[in-house]
Amino acid sequence: MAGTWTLSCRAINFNTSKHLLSLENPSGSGKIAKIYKIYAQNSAGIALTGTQLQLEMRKLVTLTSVSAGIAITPQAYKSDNVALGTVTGYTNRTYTTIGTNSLMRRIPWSSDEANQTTASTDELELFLPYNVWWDSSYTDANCQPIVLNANEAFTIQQLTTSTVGFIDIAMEITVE
Amino acid sequence: MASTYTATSMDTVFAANKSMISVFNEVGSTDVVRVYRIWAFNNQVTAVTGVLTNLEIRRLTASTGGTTITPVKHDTTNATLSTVTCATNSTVTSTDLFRRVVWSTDEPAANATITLDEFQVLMPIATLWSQGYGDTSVSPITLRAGDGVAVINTGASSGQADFFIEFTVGAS
Repeated sequence: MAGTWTLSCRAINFNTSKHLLSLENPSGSGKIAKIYKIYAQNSAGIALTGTQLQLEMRKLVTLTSVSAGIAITPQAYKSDNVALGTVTGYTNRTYTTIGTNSLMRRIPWSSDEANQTTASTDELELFLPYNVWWDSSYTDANCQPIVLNANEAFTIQQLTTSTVGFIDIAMEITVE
Repeated sequence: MASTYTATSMDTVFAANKSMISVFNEVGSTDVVRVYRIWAFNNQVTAVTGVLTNLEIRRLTASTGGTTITPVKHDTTNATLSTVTCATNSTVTSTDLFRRVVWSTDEPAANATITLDEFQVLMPIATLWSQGYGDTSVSPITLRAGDGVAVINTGASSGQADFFIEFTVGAS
């Protein structure tokens, strides 16, 4: 069983073209990172006027022109997991070179806030079963997870124009 | 673990009897393609007057033309496919029906009463086909040489959607 971690970031505020959450396996890391599951939850806790967004999940096969952002250390499921090395998570990272043929999924998302009195799209964004964006660990060993070799990354980027709303995102990963 | 790929077709405009997305294992191919999961997302962010339509998952015996899709490798060390063709709007010859679902081509709203199209943004509902229930005695849709699979729209000509097919490719 591989060392397993959760990379999570709470209350990420939306912004146009923002890379909301990323996982990077830098050149020379000596590691292979694999993404098995990705979850999200609407975490707008205040009233706001949300819009319908598109969030793109992309695999970046060359880590060039990368800058800024806030580093996030994934949380180990076992305290004696092997070391992550230089495998690191980020929010608000900048990737100048996205590359072609990298899109793996695009998720529709409402940035409106959920409340307890009505039912619309944003309220359904609170239920975990509805918001598992990627799930490769479905007991079918025939299918590969998203594999990040050295000098590769995976990112979730907001496509549409909006600065309103907040989201929690988590990735379950293994590192070997 | 077999080499795995995801084919994507974004902003795919509905038209009657259109193959929205397809995977075809070309005649003479020595590969075996297995289709594990298929998704359709209602990802529209502009207003449209939608209607109800049917999406059919069907086996193909031919697929030509259209716009070619290069599938994303789940692992970049996977082989580049040369005899497996993914496309949208290809001209297909379809046979067996695996599944038919009703689909609304209306756009989902960020904060409005939930109707059909608002459900079509949710992962479990967007999953049109899944072999992911852990029963290894059940085969995925298996494409030998000269076989394909497609999601075919049978009715509407308004609106658009995103389509994804996850499949593996192996020598046997």
